[in-house]
Amino acid sequence: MPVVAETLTPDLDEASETDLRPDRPWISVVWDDPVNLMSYVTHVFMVLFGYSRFKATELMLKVHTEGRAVVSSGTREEMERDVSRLHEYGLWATIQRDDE
Amino acid sequence: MSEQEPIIRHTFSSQERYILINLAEQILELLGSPPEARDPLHDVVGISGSELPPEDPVLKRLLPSAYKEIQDAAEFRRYTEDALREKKRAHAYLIRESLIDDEGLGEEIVQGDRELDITSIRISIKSDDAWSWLGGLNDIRLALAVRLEIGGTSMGDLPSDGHRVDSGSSQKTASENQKEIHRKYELMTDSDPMKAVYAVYNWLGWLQEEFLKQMDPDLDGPVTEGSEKAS
Repeated sequence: MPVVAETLTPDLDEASETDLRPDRPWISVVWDDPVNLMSYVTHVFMVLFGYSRFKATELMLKVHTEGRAVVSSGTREEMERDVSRLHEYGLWATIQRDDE
Repeated sequence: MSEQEPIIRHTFSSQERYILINLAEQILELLGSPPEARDPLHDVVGISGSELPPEDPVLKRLLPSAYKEIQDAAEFRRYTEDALREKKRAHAYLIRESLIDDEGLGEEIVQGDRELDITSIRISIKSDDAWSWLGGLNDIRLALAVRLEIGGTSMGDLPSDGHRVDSGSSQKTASENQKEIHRKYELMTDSDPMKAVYAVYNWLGWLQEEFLKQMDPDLDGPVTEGSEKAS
């Protein structure tokens, strides 16, 4: 299995054109869905990101009440890794630029 | 705690065992054959070729798009979907295998006549496998939820297509809709096959919660209150 980010980023022409500030962070967003249990979502955040129970619970509640929450930020490669793992555990997550 | 020490123990009745094996197999079937059974070339380059979200609504939810932008989503999917399928397949496979034979504790299952020959089984799950179980159970719950239309027919659609972008007023309606759907199944007569599907869906939620409690004795308080659904 290839490391996606490594395969993806270097040859993305449009990315190099628009990404004038490569340090600009990307974010992973988790969207609310009515299926995943609160306790499960909290634990996924704790295990995948190493967040404290408090922080993970806070994020879970944000997803629940606001419909979405930013759960991590960093480089595009890092966010692609995060979102892949969130998808592996059935959370509904997307990647976007921080300024969207 | 040692890595090899079981952190979850659970006894499945013969019926529960039968149902869960069956559901895990349905997920395996839905996810399709492993990459090696397909074009060997794709393994070398690691590209699956599929850029579009799956048409099957369950698959669409299990393998969601990672970007709102269609181009980015397609590119990402092309490079990652197979790996994601493979992970989900591994989770479902582990559940199936554990239930078919837990280190000789369980009975062998006769393929053709499964229902009659199946017995209850006590499962011990090591910490290495716990998250595969949780993820696998979650995939099954997601699949059942799509069939039950919990979350509506748009579940898994991209946030950008308008169904889910607005977290304000539409959110309330969505949660109202949720209550409606759950009420519908609760009022359904037992003879309705969808009622049974709903019961299995709820049981799997309970099971997931039960496993989490065994893994994490500190799990209590508002996080699990009423085992309500979130995210």
